[in-house]
Amino acid sequence: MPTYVYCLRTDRADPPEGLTGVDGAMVRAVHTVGLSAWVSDVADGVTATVGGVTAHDAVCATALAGGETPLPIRFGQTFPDDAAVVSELSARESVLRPRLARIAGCVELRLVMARDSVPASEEDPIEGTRTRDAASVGGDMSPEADGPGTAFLKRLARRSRADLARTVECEEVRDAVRSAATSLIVGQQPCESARGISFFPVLVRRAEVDAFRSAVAELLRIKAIRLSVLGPFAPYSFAGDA
Amino acid sequence: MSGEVFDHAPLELSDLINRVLDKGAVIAGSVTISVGDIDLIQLDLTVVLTAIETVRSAERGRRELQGDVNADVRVLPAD
Repeated sequence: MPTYVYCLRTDRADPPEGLTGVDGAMVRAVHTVGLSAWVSDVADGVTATVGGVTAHDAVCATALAGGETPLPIRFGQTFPDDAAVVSELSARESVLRPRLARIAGCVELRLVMARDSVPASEEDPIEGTRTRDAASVGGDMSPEADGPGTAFLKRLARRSRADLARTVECEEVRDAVRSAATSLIVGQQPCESARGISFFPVLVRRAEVDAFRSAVAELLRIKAIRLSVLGPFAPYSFAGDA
Repeated sequence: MSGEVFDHAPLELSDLINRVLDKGAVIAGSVTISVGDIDLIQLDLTVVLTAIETVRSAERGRRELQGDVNADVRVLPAD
């Protein structure tokens, strides 16, 4: 039966007894010489469902709560069996160990900006767009009416402009946060924008999460920003190459 | 206007999906997952679903190029 991987650690800690993961399978540890992986059996093919994603994250969160900071693995990685996991980890240990070292003692916080920070005229009202598209195709034959191709491209352009505006605004916020909490930020990633939400992840030492939140709250007191600080999480956004 | 730190469940779920599907270490060099037709796509959220959005954009584009502009855009809520 295939083996599904959740996260890696450098210690040899076993998952808590009874911990279940994707599809309710029991989570166990697979050890190599220098790394341990928390894994479970899984049926062929992993489907990205809300339940599966939640279960994956819950295992990583348990690993985070139970000791050293784990290196979270992206959802959906399976191997033919435990031996294949051990083989792959052994082959890639020189790559994975520095990543674990980089996130050691840290957690990820995600700062998310709401969509109402961008003027409504720049939004992409899908329902409204659909109405206009339908009109242009169905009954409105005026010369000004857009064809479906033009409407599609215009919608893409509107969406791109709105996302760009959000990203610019988000980067300004990120810069302000960086200035306000420089000593508390171990690492951060650029802003991303999609579907009306902009966010950026920061890597913070575990012991300084509250201090970081306080610094952000102080910043927000003097800025007209709506911001949500989510976390702490296993540092998914910092699990790749630096 | 003062700033505000806010939290609500839909945002957290959106963030969870983005984080777990789109981030995290890749051990084997590639990740192959199938996207459930129901669970994720029917989430009625303003979601950061970059991974899923790629699939849906391709589908919308294909349909719109075929002139079926009303198809399948309703699953993206305005708010």
